[in-house]
Amino acid sequence: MIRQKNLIKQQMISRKRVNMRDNLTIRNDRRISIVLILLFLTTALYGCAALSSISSFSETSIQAISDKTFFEDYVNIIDRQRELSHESNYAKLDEEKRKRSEQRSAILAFQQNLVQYMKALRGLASDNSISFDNKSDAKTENFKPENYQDGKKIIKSEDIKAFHSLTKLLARISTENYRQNKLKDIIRSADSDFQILVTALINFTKVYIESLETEKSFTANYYETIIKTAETNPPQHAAIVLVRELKNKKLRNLEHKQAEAMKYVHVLQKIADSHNYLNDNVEKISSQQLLATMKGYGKEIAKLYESLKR
Amino acid sequence: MGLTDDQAKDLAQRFREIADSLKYYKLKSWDSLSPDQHTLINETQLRLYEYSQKMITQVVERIIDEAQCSLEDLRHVIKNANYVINNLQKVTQVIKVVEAINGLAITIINNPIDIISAIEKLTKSMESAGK
Repeated sequence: MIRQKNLIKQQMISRKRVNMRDNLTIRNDRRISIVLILLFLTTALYGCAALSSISSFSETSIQAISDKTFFEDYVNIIDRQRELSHESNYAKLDEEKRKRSEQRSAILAFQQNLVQYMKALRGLASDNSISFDNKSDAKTENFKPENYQDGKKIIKSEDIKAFHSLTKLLARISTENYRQNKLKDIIRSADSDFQILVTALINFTKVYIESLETEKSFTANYYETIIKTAETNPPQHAAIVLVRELKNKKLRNLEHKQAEAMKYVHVLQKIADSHNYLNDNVEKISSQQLLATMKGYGKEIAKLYESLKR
Repeated sequence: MGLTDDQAKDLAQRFREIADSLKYYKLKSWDSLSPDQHTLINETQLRLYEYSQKMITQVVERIIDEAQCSLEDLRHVIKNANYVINNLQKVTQVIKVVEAINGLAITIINNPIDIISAIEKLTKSMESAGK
Protein backbone atom coordinates (compact mmCIF):
# COMPACT_ATOMS: atom_id res chain seq x y z
CA MET A 1 0.00 0.00 0.00
CA ILE A 2 2.76 2.40 1.02
CA ARG A 3 4.75 1.32 -1.99
CA GLN A 4 1.74 2.00 -4.24
CA LYS A 5 1.26 5.47 -2.64
CA ASN A 6 4.93 6.27 -3.23
CA LEU A 7 4.59 5.15 -6.84
CA ILE A 8 1.56 7.44 -7.37
CA LYS A 9 3.41 10.31 -5.64
CA GLN A 10 6.44 9.77 -7.90
CA GLN A 11 4.19 9.67 -10.97
CA MET A 12 2.53 12.94 -9.90
CA ILE A 13 5.91 14.63 -9.36
CA SER A 14 7.10 13.31 -12.68
CA ARG A 15 3.93 14.59 -14.46
CA LYS A 16 4.31 17.98 -12.76
CA ARG A 17 7.94 18.14 -13.97
CA VAL A 18 6.84 17.26 -17.49
CA ASN A 19 4.15 20.00 -17.36
CA MET A 20 6.69 22.52 -16.06
CA ARG A 21 9.14 21.51 -18.78
CA ASP A 22 6.39 21.80 -21.41
CA ASN A 23 5.44 25.26 -20.11
CA LEU A 24 9.07 26.29 -20.16
CA THR A 25 9.43 25.00 -23.73
CA ILE A 26 6.31 26.91 -24.81
CA ARG A 27 7.62 30.06 -23.16
CA ASN A 28 11.02 29.58 -24.76
CA ASP A 29 9.38 28.95 -28.13
CA ARG A 30 7.32 32.09 -27.74
CA ARG A 31 10.37 34.08 -26.73
CA ILE A 32 12.25 32.77 -29.77
CA SER A 33 9.24 33.76 -31.89
CA ILE A 34 9.32 37.28 -30.48
CA VAL A 35 13.06 37.55 -31.08
CA LEU A 36 12.59 36.31 -34.64
CA ILE A 37 9.73 38.75 -35.19
CA LEU A 38 11.85 41.60 -33.83
CA LEU A 39 14.68 40.58 -36.11
CA PHE A 40 12.35 40.40 -39.10
CA LEU A 41 10.74 43.74 -38.30
CA THR A 42 14.08 45.45 -37.71
CA THR A 43 15.25 44.23 -41.11
CA ALA A 44 12.03 45.40 -42.72
CA LEU A 45 12.34 48.79 -41.02
CA TYR A 46 15.90 49.16 -42.25
CA GLY A 47 14.61 48.68 -45.80
CA CYS A 48 11.83 51.19 -45.26
CA ALA A 49 13.66 54.00 -43.58
CA ALA A 50 16.75 54.32 -45.75
CA LEU A 51 15.36 57.10 -47.92
CA SER A 52 17.94 59.64 -46.78
CA SER A 53 19.45 59.83 -50.27
CA ILE A 54 16.09 61.02 -51.62
CA SER A 55 15.76 63.64 -48.88
CA SER A 56 19.35 64.82 -49.49
CA PHE A 57 18.64 65.01 -53.26
CA SER A 58 15.60 67.16 -52.41
CA GLU A 59 17.64 69.30 -50.03
CA THR A 60 20.35 70.01 -52.63
CA SER A 61 17.71 70.71 -55.28
CA ILE A 62 15.95 73.17 -52.96
CA GLN A 63 19.16 75.17 -52.60
CA ALA A 64 19.83 75.17 -56.34
CA ILE A 65 16.28 75.98 -57.44
CA SER A 66 16.02 78.78 -54.85
CA ASP A 67 18.75 80.77 -56.60
CA LYS A 68 17.14 84.01 -57.81
CA THR A 69 20.24 85.67 -59.31
CA PHE A 70 19.31 85.16 -62.96
CA PHE A 71 15.63 86.00 -62.56
CA GLU A 72 16.51 89.31 -60.92
CA ASP A 73 19.20 90.14 -63.47
CA TYR A 74 16.81 89.51 -66.36
CA VAL A 75 15.06 92.77 -65.38
CA ASN A 76 18.32 94.57 -64.56
CA ILE A 77 19.50 94.13 -68.18
CA ILE A 78 16.98 96.78 -69.22
CA ASP A 79 18.16 99.09 -66.44
CA ARG A 80 21.76 98.79 -67.62
CA GLN A 81 20.68 99.44 -71.21
CA ARG A 82 18.80 102.52 -70.00
CA GLU A 83 21.99 103.88 -68.39
CA LEU A 84 23.71 103.87 -71.78
CA SER A 85 20.71 105.13 -73.75
CA HIS A 86 19.45 108.52 -74.77
CA GLU A 87 16.55 110.02 -72.82
CA SER A 88 14.30 109.68 -75.87
CA ASN A 89 14.39 105.88 -75.39
CA TYR A 90 13.53 105.90 -71.68
CA ALA A 91 9.75 105.47 -72.10
CA LYS A 92 10.13 102.39 -74.32
CA LEU A 93 12.72 100.87 -72.00
CA ASP A 94 10.56 101.55 -68.95
CA GLU A 95 7.68 99.73 -70.62
CA GLU A 96 10.00 96.80 -71.38
CA LYS A 97 11.17 96.78 -67.78
CA ARG A 98 7.57 96.72 -66.54
CA LYS A 99 6.83 93.66 -68.70
CA ARG A 100 9.94 91.87 -67.52
CA SER A 101 9.15 92.66 -63.88
CA GLU A 102 5.76 90.99 -64.31
CA GLN A 103 7.43 88.02 -65.94
CA ARG A 104 9.93 87.82 -63.11
CA SER A 105 7.02 87.46 -60.63
CA ALA A 106 5.58 84.60 -62.70
CA ILE A 107 8.95 82.87 -62.99
CA LEU A 108 9.53 83.30 -59.25
CA ALA A 109 6.14 81.62 -58.66
CA PHE A 110 7.38 78.61 -60.70
CA GLN A 111 10.53 78.57 -58.67
CA GLN A 112 8.73 78.87 -55.33
CA ASN A 113 6.36 76.04 -56.18
CA LEU A 114 9.19 73.79 -57.29
CA VAL A 115 10.87 74.54 -53.97
CA GLN A 116 7.63 73.81 -52.09
CA TYR A 117 7.32 70.52 -53.94
CA MET A 118 10.91 69.58 -53.16
CA LYS A 119 10.32 70.46 -49.51
CA ALA A 120 7.29 68.17 -49.45
CA LEU A 121 9.36 65.43 -51.06
CA ARG A 122 12.09 65.98 -48.48
CA GLY A 123 9.46 65.90 -45.72
CA LEU A 124 8.07 62.58 -46.88
CA ALA A 125 11.47 61.03 -47.53
CA SER A 126 12.92 62.26 -44.24
CA ASP A 127 13.17 59.76 -41.42
CA ASN A 128 12.14 62.56 -39.04
CA SER A 129 8.76 63.01 -40.72
CA ILE A 130 7.17 60.69 -38.20
CA SER A 131 7.65 61.60 -34.55
CA PHE A 132 6.14 58.28 -33.69
CA ASP A 133 8.14 56.72 -30.87
CA ASN A 134 7.82 59.46 -28.27
CA LYS A 135 4.09 59.84 -28.79
CA SER A 136 3.41 56.15 -28.73
CA ASP A 137 5.48 55.34 -25.65
CA ALA A 138 2.81 56.41 -23.19
CA LYS A 139 0.20 54.37 -24.96
CA THR A 140 2.29 51.23 -25.25
CA GLU A 141 3.50 51.47 -21.65
CA ASN A 142 -0.10 51.22 -20.44
CA PHE A 143 -0.66 48.20 -22.54
CA LYS A 144 -0.69 44.97 -20.48
CA PRO A 145 -0.70 41.87 -22.63
CA GLU A 146 -1.80 39.70 -19.67
CA ASN A 147 -5.21 41.40 -19.70
CA TYR A 148 -5.96 40.31 -23.20
CA GLN A 149 -7.47 37.13 -24.63
CA ASP A 150 -10.13 36.40 -21.98
CA GLY A 151 -7.82 37.05 -19.06
CA LYS A 152 -5.46 34.32 -20.16
CA LYS A 153 -1.85 35.34 -19.93
CA ILE A 154 -0.31 35.02 -23.33
CA ILE A 155 3.17 36.20 -22.39
CA LYS A 156 4.95 36.74 -19.10
CA SER A 157 5.91 40.12 -17.69
CA GLU A 158 9.60 39.69 -18.63
CA ASP A 159 8.51 39.51 -22.27
CA ILE A 160 6.54 42.76 -22.11
CA LYS A 161 9.60 44.84 -22.92
CA ALA A 162 10.20 42.82 -26.06
CA PHE A 163 6.51 43.06 -26.83
CA HIS A 164 6.60 46.87 -26.55
CA SER A 165 9.58 46.96 -28.90
CA LEU A 166 7.71 44.74 -31.30
CA THR A 167 4.61 46.94 -31.12
CA LYS A 168 6.64 50.06 -31.81
CA LEU A 169 8.53 48.45 -34.65
CA LEU A 170 5.35 47.19 -36.22
CA ALA A 171 3.78 50.63 -35.96
CA ARG A 172 6.86 52.18 -37.45
CA ILE A 173 6.89 49.78 -40.39
CA SER A 174 3.22 50.35 -41.12
CA THR A 175 3.72 54.10 -40.98
CA GLU A 176 6.82 53.75 -43.17
CA ASN A 177 4.84 51.69 -45.68
CA TYR A 178 2.10 54.29 -45.68
CA ARG A 179 4.71 57.04 -46.12
CA GLN A 180 6.46 55.21 -48.96
CA ASN A 181 3.21 54.59 -50.80
CA LYS A 182 2.31 58.26 -50.50
CA LEU A 183 5.80 59.23 -51.64
CA LYS A 184 5.40 57.04 -54.71
CA ASP A 185 1.97 58.54 -55.47
CA ILE A 186 3.32 62.05 -55.15
CA ILE A 187 6.37 61.43 -57.35
CA ARG A 188 4.17 59.79 -59.99
CA SER A 189 1.57 62.56 -60.02
CA ALA A 190 4.15 65.37 -59.97
CA ASP A 191 6.75 64.22 -62.49
CA SER A 192 5.24 65.54 -65.75
CA ASP A 193 4.42 68.96 -64.22
CA PHE A 194 7.78 69.02 -62.47
CA GLN A 195 9.53 68.36 -65.80
CA ILE A 196 7.52 71.09 -67.55
CA LEU A 197 8.28 73.67 -64.85
CA VAL A 198 11.99 72.85 -64.61
CA THR A 199 12.17 72.92 -68.41
CA ALA A 200 10.49 76.34 -68.28
CA LEU A 201 13.24 77.53 -65.90
CA ILE A 202 15.91 76.00 -68.17
CA ASN A 203 14.42 77.69 -71.25
CA PHE A 204 14.10 80.95 -69.37
CA THR A 205 17.77 80.79 -68.32
CA LYS A 206 18.82 80.07 -71.93
CA VAL A 207 16.79 83.05 -73.14
CA TYR A 208 18.36 85.16 -70.38
CA ILE A 209 21.78 84.18 -71.79
CA GLU A 210 20.53 85.37 -75.19
CA SER A 211 19.44 88.65 -73.62
CA LEU A 212 22.92 89.06 -72.15
CA GLU A 213 24.35 88.45 -75.62
CA THR A 214 22.31 91.37 -76.96
CA GLU A 215 23.41 93.47 -73.98
CA LYS A 216 27.02 92.61 -74.79
CA SER A 217 26.59 93.74 -78.40
CA PHE A 218 24.82 96.88 -77.26
CA THR A 219 27.55 97.69 -74.70
CA ALA A 220 30.36 96.96 -77.15
CA ASN A 221 28.75 99.23 -79.73
CA TYR A 222 28.32 102.02 -77.16
CA TYR A 223 31.97 102.01 -76.07
CA GLU A 224 33.45 101.36 -79.50
CA THR A 225 31.53 104.34 -80.87
CA ILE A 226 32.95 106.54 -78.07
CA ILE A 227 36.47 105.22 -78.75
CA LYS A 228 36.15 105.91 -82.49
CA THR A 229 34.82 109.39 -81.84
CA ALA A 230 37.79 110.08 -79.54
CA GLU A 231 40.29 108.63 -82.02
CA THR A 232 39.13 110.99 -84.76
CA ASN A 233 39.32 113.95 -82.40
CA PRO A 234 42.86 113.94 -80.94
CA PRO A 235 44.48 114.36 -78.42
CA GLN A 236 42.38 111.77 -76.55
CA HIS A 237 44.75 108.83 -76.24
CA ALA A 238 44.66 108.42 -72.42
CA ALA A 239 40.87 108.66 -72.41
CA ILE A 240 40.66 106.02 -75.14
CA VAL A 241 42.73 103.58 -73.11
CA LEU A 242 40.48 104.15 -70.08
CA VAL A 243 37.28 103.73 -72.05
CA ARG A 244 38.62 100.60 -73.72
CA GLU A 245 39.43 99.13 -70.30
CA LEU A 246 35.98 100.04 -69.05
CA LYS A 247 34.39 98.44 -72.10
CA ASN A 248 36.43 95.24 -71.71
CA LYS A 249 35.55 95.09 -68.01
CA LYS A 250 31.83 95.40 -68.74
CA LEU A 251 31.99 92.77 -71.47
CA ARG A 252 33.95 90.36 -69.23
CA ASN A 253 31.31 90.87 -66.54
CA LEU A 254 28.55 90.01 -69.00
CA GLU A 255 30.43 86.94 -70.27
CA HIS A 256 30.84 85.80 -66.66
CA LYS A 257 27.08 86.14 -66.13
CA GLN A 258 26.45 84.06 -69.27
CA ALA A 259 28.83 81.33 -68.12
CA GLU A 260 27.15 81.25 -64.68
CA ALA A 261 23.71 81.05 -66.26
CA MET A 262 24.84 78.12 -68.42
CA LYS A 263 26.06 76.33 -65.28
CA TYR A 264 22.63 76.94 -63.78
CA VAL A 265 21.02 75.35 -66.85
CA HIS A 266 23.15 72.24 -66.16
CA VAL A 267 22.09 72.20 -62.49
CA LEU A 268 18.40 72.41 -63.45
CA GLN A 269 18.81 69.78 -66.14
CA LYS A 270 20.42 67.43 -63.60
CA ILE A 271 17.55 68.01 -61.16
CA ALA A 272 15.00 67.27 -63.90
CA ASP A 273 16.85 64.10 -64.94
CA SER A 274 17.14 62.91 -61.32
CA HIS A 275 13.44 63.37 -60.68
CA ASN A 276 12.65 61.63 -63.94
CA TYR A 277 14.83 58.67 -62.90
CA LEU A 278 13.06 58.61 -59.53
CA ASN A 279 9.70 58.55 -61.29
CA ASP A 280 10.74 55.81 -63.73
CA ASN A 281 11.94 53.60 -60.85
CA VAL A 282 9.41 54.62 -58.22
CA GLU A 283 8.34 51.01 -57.59
CA LYS A 284 11.87 50.25 -56.38
CA ILE A 285 12.02 53.32 -54.16
CA SER A 286 13.76 51.61 -51.25
CA SER A 287 16.12 49.46 -53.33
CA GLN A 288 19.81 49.89 -52.64
CA GLN A 289 20.52 50.58 -56.31
CA LEU A 290 17.96 53.39 -56.60
CA LEU A 291 19.07 54.96 -53.34
CA ALA A 292 22.73 54.78 -54.36
CA THR A 293 21.92 56.40 -57.72
CA MET A 294 19.89 59.14 -56.02
CA LYS A 295 22.77 59.72 -53.62
CA GLY A 296 25.06 60.08 -56.63
CA TYR A 297 22.65 62.54 -58.29
CA GLY A 298 22.45 64.56 -55.07
CA LYS A 299 26.24 64.81 -54.97
CA GLU A 300 26.44 65.82 -58.64
CA ILE A 301 23.83 68.54 -58.16
CA ALA A 302 25.66 69.83 -55.07
CA LYS A 303 28.97 69.84 -56.98
CA LEU A 304 27.49 71.64 -60.00
CA TYR A 305 25.79 74.17 -57.75
CA GLU A 306 28.99 74.72 -55.74
CA SER A 307 30.87 75.53 -58.96
CA LEU A 308 28.14 78.05 -59.77
CA LYS A 309 28.45 79.84 -56.41
CA ARG A 310 32.25 80.08 -56.62
CA MET B 1 -0.51 83.25 -86.69
CA GLY B 2 2.05 84.36 -84.09
CA LEU B 3 5.72 83.49 -83.96
CA THR B 4 6.91 80.27 -82.41
CA ASP B 5 9.52 80.33 -79.61
CA ASP B 6 12.27 79.30 -81.99
CA GLN B 7 11.27 81.89 -84.58
CA ALA B 8 11.18 84.65 -81.96
CA LYS B 9 14.57 83.54 -80.59
CA ASP B 10 15.95 83.42 -84.12
CA LEU B 11 14.67 86.93 -84.81
CA ALA B 12 16.25 88.23 -81.57
CA GLN B 13 19.56 86.83 -82.77
CA ARG B 14 19.13 88.22 -86.32
CA PHE B 15 18.32 91.75 -85.09
CA ARG B 16 21.44 91.68 -82.93
CA GLU B 17 23.60 90.40 -85.80
CA ILE B 18 22.35 93.11 -88.18
CA ALA B 19 23.04 95.76 -85.51
CA ASP B 20 26.56 94.31 -85.09
CA SER B 21 27.11 94.34 -88.86
CA LEU B 22 26.06 97.99 -88.92
CA LYS B 23 28.58 98.67 -86.15
CA TYR B 24 31.44 97.14 -88.16
CA TYR B 25 30.36 99.05 -91.26
CA LYS B 26 30.11 102.29 -89.24
CA LEU B 27 33.57 101.88 -87.65
CA LYS B 28 35.17 100.90 -90.95
CA SER B 29 33.59 103.73 -92.95
CA TRP B 30 33.71 106.23 -90.13
CA ASP B 31 35.37 109.09 -92.01
CA SER B 32 33.40 108.67 -95.21
CA LEU B 33 29.99 108.81 -93.52
CA SER B 34 28.10 112.09 -93.30
CA PRO B 35 26.74 113.24 -89.89
CA ASP B 36 23.21 112.34 -91.02
CA GLN B 37 24.35 108.85 -92.05
CA HIS B 38 26.03 108.44 -88.65
CA THR B 39 22.81 109.42 -86.92
CA LEU B 40 20.75 107.11 -89.11
CA ILE B 41 23.04 104.12 -88.49
CA ASN B 42 23.16 104.79 -84.75
CA GLU B 43 19.40 105.07 -84.44
CA THR B 44 18.85 101.93 -86.54
CA GLN B 45 21.32 100.02 -84.41
CA LEU B 46 19.61 101.08 -81.19
CA ARG B 47 16.23 100.11 -82.58
CA LEU B 48 17.56 96.68 -83.60
CA TYR B 49 19.04 96.04 -80.14
CA GLU B 50 15.71 97.12 -78.68
CA TYR B 51 13.79 94.72 -80.98
CA SER B 52 16.18 91.95 -80.04
CA GLN B 53 15.36 92.45 -76.33
CA LYS B 54 11.64 92.73 -77.14
CA MET B 55 11.72 89.37 -78.93
CA ILE B 56 13.40 87.84 -75.90
CA THR B 57 10.66 89.24 -73.65
CA GLN B 58 8.09 87.65 -75.98
CA VAL B 59 9.78 84.25 -75.77
CA VAL B 60 9.71 84.44 -71.96
CA GLU B 61 6.00 85.32 -72.12
CA ARG B 62 5.38 82.11 -74.07
CA ILE B 63 7.50 80.03 -71.71
CA ILE B 64 5.38 81.31 -68.81
CA ASP B 65 2.05 80.74 -70.61
CA GLU B 66 2.95 77.19 -71.58
CA ALA B 67 3.95 76.19 -68.05
CA GLN B 68 1.09 77.96 -66.24
CA CYS B 69 -1.17 74.92 -66.36
CA SER B 70 1.51 72.69 -64.85
CA LEU B 71 2.01 75.23 -62.08
CA GLU B 72 -1.63 74.80 -61.03
CA ASP B 73 -1.33 71.01 -61.15
CA LEU B 74 1.89 71.01 -59.14
CA ARG B 75 0.25 73.24 -56.51
CA HIS B 76 -2.42 70.58 -56.14
CA VAL B 77 0.24 67.87 -55.65
CA ILE B 78 2.05 70.02 -53.05
CA LYS B 79 -1.21 70.53 -51.16
CA ASN B 80 -1.79 66.79 -51.16
CA ALA B 81 1.79 66.06 -50.05
CA ASN B 82 1.59 68.57 -47.19
CA TYR B 83 -1.70 67.03 -46.11
CA VAL B 84 -0.03 63.61 -45.94
CA ILE B 85 2.91 65.02 -43.96
CA ASN B 86 0.59 66.75 -41.49
CA ASN B 87 -1.43 63.57 -41.08
CA LEU B 88 1.71 61.59 -40.35
CA GLN B 89 2.50 64.00 -37.56
CA LYS B 90 -0.92 64.11 -35.95
CA VAL B 91 -0.97 62.62 -32.49
CA THR B 92 -4.52 61.37 -32.93
CA GLN B 93 -3.42 59.57 -36.03
CA VAL B 94 -0.57 57.93 -34.16
CA ILE B 95 -2.77 56.88 -31.28
CA LYS B 96 -5.27 55.29 -33.68
CA VAL B 97 -2.43 53.36 -35.20
CA VAL B 98 -1.09 52.22 -31.84
CA GLU B 99 -4.55 51.03 -30.81
CA ALA B 100 -4.79 49.03 -34.00
CA ILE B 101 -1.32 47.65 -33.49
CA ASN B 102 -1.97 46.39 -29.97
CA GLY B 103 -4.65 44.08 -31.27
CA LEU B 104 -2.61 43.00 -34.22
CA ALA B 105 0.50 42.31 -32.17
CA ILE B 106 -1.31 39.62 -30.21
CA THR B 107 -2.35 37.89 -33.40
CA ILE B 108 1.23 38.00 -34.55
CA ILE B 109 2.61 36.59 -31.32
CA ASN B 110 0.23 33.66 -31.55
CA ASN B 111 0.94 33.18 -35.23
CA PRO B 112 4.19 34.80 -36.48
CA ILE B 113 3.42 33.78 -40.07
CA ASP B 114 0.64 36.38 -40.15
CA ILE B 115 3.12 39.27 -39.87
CA ILE B 116 3.02 40.29 -43.50
CA SER B 117 -0.75 40.27 -43.77
CA ALA B 118 -0.95 42.13 -40.43
CA ILE B 119 1.33 44.86 -41.76
CA GLU B 120 -0.77 45.13 -44.91
CA LYS B 121 -3.96 45.40 -42.86
CA LEU B 122 -2.41 48.08 -40.68
CA THR B 123 -1.19 50.04 -43.70
CA LYS B 124 -4.70 49.91 -45.14
CA SER B 125 -6.16 51.12 -41.85
CA MET B 126 -3.66 54.00 -41.91
CA GLU B 127 -4.61 54.81 -45.48
CA SER B 128 -8.27 55.08 -44.50
CA ALA B 129 -7.44 57.01 -41.31
CA GLY B 130 -5.34 59.41 -43.39
CA LYS B 131 -8.25 60.36 -45.67
